[in-house]
Amino acid sequence: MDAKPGAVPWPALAAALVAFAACALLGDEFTVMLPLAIALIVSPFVRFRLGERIWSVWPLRLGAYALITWTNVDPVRLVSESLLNLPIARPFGELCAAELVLQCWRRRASAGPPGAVVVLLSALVFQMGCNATQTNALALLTPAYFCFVVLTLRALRDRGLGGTRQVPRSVAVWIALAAALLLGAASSEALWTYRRTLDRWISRLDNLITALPSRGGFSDTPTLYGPPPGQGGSLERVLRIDAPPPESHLRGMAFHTYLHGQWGPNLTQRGLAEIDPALLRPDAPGPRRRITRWTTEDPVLFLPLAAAGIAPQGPVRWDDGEGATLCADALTSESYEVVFPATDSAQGPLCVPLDDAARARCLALPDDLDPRVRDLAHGIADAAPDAARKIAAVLAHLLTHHRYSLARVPHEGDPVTDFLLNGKDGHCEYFASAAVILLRCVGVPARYVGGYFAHEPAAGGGTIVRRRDAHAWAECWVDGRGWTTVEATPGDGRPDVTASELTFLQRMKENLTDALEAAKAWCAALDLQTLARLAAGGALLALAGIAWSRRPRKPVVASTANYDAAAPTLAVLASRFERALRRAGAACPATRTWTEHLAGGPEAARRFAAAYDEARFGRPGDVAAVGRAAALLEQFEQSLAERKDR
Amino acid sequence: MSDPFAAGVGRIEANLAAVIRGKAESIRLLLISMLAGGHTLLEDVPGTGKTTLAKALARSLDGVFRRIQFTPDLLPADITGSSFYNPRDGSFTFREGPVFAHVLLADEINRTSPRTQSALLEVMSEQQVTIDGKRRELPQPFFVVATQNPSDFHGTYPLPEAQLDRFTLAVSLGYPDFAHEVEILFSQNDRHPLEGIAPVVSCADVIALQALVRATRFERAVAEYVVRIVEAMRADARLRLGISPRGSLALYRTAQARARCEGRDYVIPDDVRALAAPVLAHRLLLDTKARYTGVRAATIVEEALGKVAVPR
Repeated sequence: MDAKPGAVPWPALAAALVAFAACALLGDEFTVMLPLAIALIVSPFVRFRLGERIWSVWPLRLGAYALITWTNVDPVRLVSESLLNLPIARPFGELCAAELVLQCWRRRASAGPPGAVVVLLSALVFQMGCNATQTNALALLTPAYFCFVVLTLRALRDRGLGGTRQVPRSVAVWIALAAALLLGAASSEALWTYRRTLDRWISRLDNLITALPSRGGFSDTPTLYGPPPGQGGSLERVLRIDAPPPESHLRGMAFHTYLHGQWGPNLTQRGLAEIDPALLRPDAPGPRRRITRWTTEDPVLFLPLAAAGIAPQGPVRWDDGEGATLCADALTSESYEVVFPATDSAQGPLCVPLDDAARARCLALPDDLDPRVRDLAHGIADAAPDAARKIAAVLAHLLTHHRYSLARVPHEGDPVTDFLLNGKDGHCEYFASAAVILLRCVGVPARYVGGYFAHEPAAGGGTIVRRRDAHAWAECWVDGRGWTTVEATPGDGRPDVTASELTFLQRMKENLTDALEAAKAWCAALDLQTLARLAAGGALLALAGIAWSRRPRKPVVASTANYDAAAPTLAVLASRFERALRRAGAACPATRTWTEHLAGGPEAARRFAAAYDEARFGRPGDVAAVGRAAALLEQFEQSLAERKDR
Repeated sequence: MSDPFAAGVGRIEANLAAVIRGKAESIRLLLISMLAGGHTLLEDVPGTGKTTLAKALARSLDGVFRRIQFTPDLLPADITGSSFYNPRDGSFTFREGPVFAHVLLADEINRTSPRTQSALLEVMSEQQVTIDGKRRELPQPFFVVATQNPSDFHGTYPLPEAQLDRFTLAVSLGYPDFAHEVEILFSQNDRHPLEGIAPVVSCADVIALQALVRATRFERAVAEYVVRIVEAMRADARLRLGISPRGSLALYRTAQARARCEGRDYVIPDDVRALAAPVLAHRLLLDTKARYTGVRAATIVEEALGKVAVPR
């Protein structure tokens, strides 16, 4: 039980690790508890220590605090999720854990051990873990934690709690325990009481790092009264495509009903039906891409309009009449394969031919549409002989008479009417909506589409789609050709142009999250046998590490080469003697004298050692002394040879 | 042993062995210190014979023996002496203090204040006393034997490093073994063995013995060995204060003395190794962590000996 004063008692380390485990149970996202736990476990085996002075620890402390803050905070989640989750509990627990690890790594001037500090901080960490999570694992962790705390206090009893004042042992033990419990309870109470204030502070701090306040992304209720779908959208990743897609427009839903600035119907208003997977032509020829959904919040599958084939993981439902939207079960379709079309004009499963009802929906205009909009449409496109040229004319008009802008310009009445008739600037939703309305005015069936524009290359290949890449465009039916994607937004308004580079911290955060997810997936894929092997291997490694750390260390021996050298003849005698000792299995260490080494040994050897000392240190240059030593060495060697023969 | 040396040392050892039973090695160390012209610190718990040994040594010489019982109220002048005003003729007369002796027993040296302890600094290192600007040489040979109880902290003042460095070696007697302790009980039945001690060497003899010691051959390789041991300790991170050149010199001189006592006129590395701990350990100042982790100074010396190769 006794540990070296100055070293953290092992029960305190164990208690801290249990507290770390409790805090790590708060969520399954990336947590710094694992590297902190590793740093804690390694600390007793490493002689290196951080500086004694507090200023040398501050850079590490601040770095740890910053890391913990931006790995934990998602401001949107703080608002949208229940406050019972206490998202600030884990950051606070991790802060205490980081401080605990720093205290274990600091060199301490006083004789007092850091054990008391470790107990107090681990109590805070454990309190955070208990306070914010409801899991059966705590039934095991709680008694384990308190057992280790009691053992720690027992270890500290004999050595005191450090500091300079003389405190009676029993009093010190109870003070430490009471302080730990009180601090834990008080901190928990304070966090609960001021959780909203702390949420705001943490959000502000996170905004400084991530610089993107809102969530944004695809919405199944697009409206021209809200913010642009992509701009202001967070960096949260939505999709990953395993290779650059031939087509960047990934449609989620198509909308055909426009009313007062809003497109519908939304997802809940649609009748989704099961679809025979064979109808999706999963084995169609063409370039295949696997799209992985980062978040399963949106059930919609994002696909190119002209996808030649679709291979989801599980059952999907779709609305063939309302724009061919595919929806998948959130739990079973984490990824799906898409066969991209070989040609631009190909029509895949999503290009459902128009029937009369669908045509009517795609030509419908609001009853209260300003007649001047119809006049404008006719003026733009009547001269065009066919649908394709009408589309081109409308796009040209929009590009030449309107500019892309993210600023929300106030408008009177219908937003699209105001946009078209008053030459206003707007974002992609305005352009897409305007294109659809104008084309419907001139008899081209069109619908509004919301989805993502895939453009960002991912590290390691592929493409990443984020919420900020949400985009809106139009789809038009051209008789004789089918459905076609119509990009109405000017080039400078597309997500690939407006998207900014990720900051270093943002990239680091994503890389760490990916590494953790990959590790989790790898662990989840392990079978029991492999797990058992890994556990056994880990235990062996740990034992080997402990044995290696406790190995008897050979002292570094200063060389004999720097001494004033003996005469060559004496050096030869010395070498012969040492060889003889080695042959006899009694090699003399370089740090011992022969006399010392041979105490109780053969008489002949001891006599030679004495003669050698006389010749070397008493009578340097005395030939007779050297001769005596040589003679005694020969006697010794002779005796060894005789013993060997016998 | 060489004849004159052996005879003189043998007589002293026999005298001391008659008083202190079963401590031949401690007696030998004390003699080595004296022959090296140094001073000795006897550290041990009460009642082990520290004062008796010092008295026996003093009585073995025909010189002047003085004893100072160090108390908290002792003043420096009580040690070195002071000048007294003589009102009869209006002059100042210097009255010598107890240091003006051949053998000075400083009993319980850690019971007096550091101010008084420091009065011995010049005495021990330079064997002279400077009072009122006048330098007064001490008689030769001059030898200080100090005693202290290392386990008693009440009312004591730890010796400063400068003071400790001036002791050539520190000896611990320890409790006698069973047989010898029984002998001690019977040996003091009629009278104390000290009363039967007569001088066996003269001060001139001691001076001659010291001269013989200084003439002992010290090969350069062995001298380098001494310095390497000291350097190895200076590099030890557990020490706040390492060995000074005075310590190296003390080891040098005592190795010479040991070589003579062993009957050699030359020093071998075994002499250095045998005396390393007694000569060097008490000079080391451990840092707080080393002290509280139970590291002993003797252990550090042993480790240094284990790190430095012996010259062959």
